[in-house]
Amino acid sequence: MNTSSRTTVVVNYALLTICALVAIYPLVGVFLASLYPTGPGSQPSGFSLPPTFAWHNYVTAWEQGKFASSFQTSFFVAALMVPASVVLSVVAGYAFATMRFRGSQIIFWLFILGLIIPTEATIVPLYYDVKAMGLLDTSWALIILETSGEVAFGIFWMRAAFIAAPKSLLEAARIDGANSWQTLWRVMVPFARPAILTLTVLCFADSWNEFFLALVFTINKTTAPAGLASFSGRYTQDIALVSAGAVIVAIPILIVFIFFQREFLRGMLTGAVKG
Amino acid sequence: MADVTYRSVRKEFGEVVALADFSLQIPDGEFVVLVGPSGSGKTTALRLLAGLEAISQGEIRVGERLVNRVAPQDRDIAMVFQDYALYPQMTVYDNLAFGLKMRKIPKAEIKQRVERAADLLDIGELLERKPRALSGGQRQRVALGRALVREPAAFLMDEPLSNLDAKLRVQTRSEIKQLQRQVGTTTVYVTHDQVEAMTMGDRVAVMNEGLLEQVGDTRTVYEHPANVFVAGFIGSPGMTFTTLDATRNGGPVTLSRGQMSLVVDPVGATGVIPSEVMIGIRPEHAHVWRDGSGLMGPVEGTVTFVEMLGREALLGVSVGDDQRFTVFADADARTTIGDRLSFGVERGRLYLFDPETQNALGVV
Repeated sequence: MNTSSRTTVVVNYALLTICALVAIYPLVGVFLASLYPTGPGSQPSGFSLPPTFAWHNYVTAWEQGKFASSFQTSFFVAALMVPASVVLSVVAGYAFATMRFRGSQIIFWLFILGLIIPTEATIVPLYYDVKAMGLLDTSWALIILETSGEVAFGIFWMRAAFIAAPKSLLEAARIDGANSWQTLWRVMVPFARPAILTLTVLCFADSWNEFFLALVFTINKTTAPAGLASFSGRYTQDIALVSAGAVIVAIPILIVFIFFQREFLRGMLTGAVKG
Repeated sequence: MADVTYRSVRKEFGEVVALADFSLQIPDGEFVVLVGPSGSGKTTALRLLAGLEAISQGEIRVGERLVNRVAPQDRDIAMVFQDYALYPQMTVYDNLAFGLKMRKIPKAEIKQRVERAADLLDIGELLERKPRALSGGQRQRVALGRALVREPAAFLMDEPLSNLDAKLRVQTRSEIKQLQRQVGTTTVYVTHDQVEAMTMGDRVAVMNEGLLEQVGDTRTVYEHPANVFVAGFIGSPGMTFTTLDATRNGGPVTLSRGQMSLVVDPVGATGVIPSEVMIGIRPEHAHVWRDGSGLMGPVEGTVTFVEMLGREALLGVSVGDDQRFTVFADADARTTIGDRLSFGVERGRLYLFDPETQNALGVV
């Protein structure tokens, strides 16, 4: 290896290390903070090691945050929202990618608008709509709202994935006698499997991490992230318990990512390199 | 198996006319090659037959059946795509069987047809593999197999050899031709490679800019091209052209301009040779002048390039300022760039064209 390429490798590794540290730093900080003893006497700050490792904070956080019930709600919402979002996105993305129909461009851009307009801008009318439907403080409010929000991104994502498929594949299926549904499920879905798996992971992450909608639309039937709000009083906040709660809430999504990371990365990189 | 008919077919993409007044009758069992450069309309003609594009005007028939508005899956055709279009997540067996499953053919018959096709194409041991585990040549054979199992009225092939390396291409084109003879199915084959067209087709349809320039058997298209385009496109290396002035001297006609002069017997010309005529010379009919027997000439020029082809050499000869020709010579000829060279043209092998209409005027 010559000098200039060695220098390039060193610089690349240095940059990657810095980026990794920047990404990991807050996570490590939260983890260390979660192990600080609770109480007004000890407050975690920055990146400092706790004086003693208070592992029992996790038990306290689990009980105080009522995570048993909020995890159940989160899982229930995700279990319905994720398949609904993925199926709707796949079907609609396929239609937009492979079919020509009147108004397709306008309808597609309406979905893109759903990506651009922030939830905060529509939260007030949404609240009154959900209230009128009698769905306040129910999981169904979250399922419906999260699904509709996720489908906007999902359609964009799946349309791109299906557009990347060779046109000849669709034509071959057509000549072979497959109708649109058969072409979708037997040819295109297997072809777009990495993209679909990536979308599934992203949908799960979005659903699991959804805080704002849960905070506004639920009180008793709340989700795990919204349950973290119970650790904050009006004037005080127990940093150690909040941190422990945050780690508890993050565990399921970490497990999902570890299991699906290869497929996730493959789906993200599909189309980046000409195969 | 059936014949295929295009009658006055036209296809427009907005303002662009991709195919204009295309008429072609392909009898049952014939292997017809549509050949032409990019943008000539050959692929459009194929896709219209497949039903992948909608026809703008005219009629397309498969057998007696008018198929203008018939869906691709109901036209009884099978297509081999340039990129093979194999279903990547299915095994070779499933790829071959897919079209039959869609048509609800019984499993036992599917198995029989797939195994028969696999035997014919020698891909029996590949049936459990997926396309990514196959070489280019193997994928190509699977794509052919997928068409074969359908037992259609016509095969449509869209440049199926273009993704193969040169050696495999030569091997595979004879295999395809052999296969077609064996099954006897009408085949419409598209290629931009005129060598492929000449070696594979029973007949060749030469296309250019949406128009059918000439259709005929390979010998006719080669020896009697209808116009300058066909003459220049068919044949490798291609024909070289120049425009000369024609002067009658009693019987013979002198064609000359600048430093070039040829005396020809006008017997082979169709009609009167005009005062200005375009001539075409195939390199294989132009030879280095030795004693001149059997040749018209000599034409003297300067060698501008030398290409060794193994058993012979190709020489580029520049005559005057703007006349360029290609001449065959023996491989052991010690000719170098810059040498002066005289060459002649075989009698009866000088092609004449009208410089205005570009149509052929005969061979002298």
